[in-house]
Amino acid sequence: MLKDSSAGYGLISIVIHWLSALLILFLFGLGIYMTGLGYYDDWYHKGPALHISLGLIVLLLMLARVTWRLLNPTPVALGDKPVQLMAAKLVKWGLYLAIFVVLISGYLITTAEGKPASLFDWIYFPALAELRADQVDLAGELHEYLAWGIIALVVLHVAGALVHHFVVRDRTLVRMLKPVKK
Amino acid sequence: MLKKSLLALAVSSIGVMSLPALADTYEIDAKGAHASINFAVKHLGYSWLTGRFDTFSGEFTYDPAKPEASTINVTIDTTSVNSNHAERDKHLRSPDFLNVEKFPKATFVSKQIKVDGDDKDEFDIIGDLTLNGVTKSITIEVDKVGEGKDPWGGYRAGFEGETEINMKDFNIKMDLGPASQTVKLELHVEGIKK
Repeated sequence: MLKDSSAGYGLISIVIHWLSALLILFLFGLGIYMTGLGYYDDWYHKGPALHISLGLIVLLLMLARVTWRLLNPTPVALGDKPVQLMAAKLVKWGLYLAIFVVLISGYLITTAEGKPASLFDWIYFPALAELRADQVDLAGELHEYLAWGIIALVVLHVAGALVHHFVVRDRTLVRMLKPVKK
Repeated sequence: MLKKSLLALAVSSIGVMSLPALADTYEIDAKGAHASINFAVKHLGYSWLTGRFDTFSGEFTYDPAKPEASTINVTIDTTSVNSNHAERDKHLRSPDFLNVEKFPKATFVSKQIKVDGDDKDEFDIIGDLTLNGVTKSITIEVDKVGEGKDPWGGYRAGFEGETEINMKDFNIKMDLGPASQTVKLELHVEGIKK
């Protein structure tokens, strides 16, 4: 029920998957919204603080997800067309990579001058590296462009899931909704 | 008698020699950080937000007897803007403010020095400030702090200056509100004679 097996995902993987999916989409929208705000807008400070807090939560979720993935058997991908299986795999790895780069670049920007990153003023994550100005700006560009990259990959990922469900009619999508029995 | 006239000759020749006294050239001691370019902007009208440019270089010529003949030029690395806050500094470098990718340098070149009043240690430097790609004439009010030998075999002269610029004049896009349209620049400059 909780653990993954070769047949499907357990509850923990499913919860992490959907929670991070919601948070990542919300963070993308919030990121675009808050960077367009004027100095006197209500959310000028609240927006970035929320963005950082939720980003830290996604970082923790992603670390838990990778750890859990390593501790559990990986469910076998459904389907028999090697090209499609490879494409699905590439999109998944692309998502992992892009999400981690966006998370790490965000973390580095926030902590660039040695001050910790605050999770709702409750937990403070220390600065791991102090960045020069040009490095912060580079991190900012990576953060923005790869956030769009994540969205592009999400579109492919969702399209793939829908094709599996409605065209191929296999259990790929259902497996991410219903925990495996054993 | 002879002695006296010799002395007079010596004194007068010293006087003659020091008359044309060309202005000396000084390099601004940015390396030793005995100079700083600071700015202050009102925050909402309730307090001052201060910051500085960490990296700059320049030199000046100065003759205490003829300060009006002095000149100065300074080049500022705009990417070095520092207000002790990573995200704000990132914003200051962006096209909303200093647009450092397009304009990594700001410069000031003096055009004229005006000594008003009897005090030669107080003067106005009028010159061209180029910032964010816009060149505009500004006036810096300067007070000399002091000059003299340093303990390591050099000779130094130092000044403080103040001016205020309007952000809109330099095409800075971000609007920080009615109380925060201008930036105060506070300059501390120590030069080492070359």
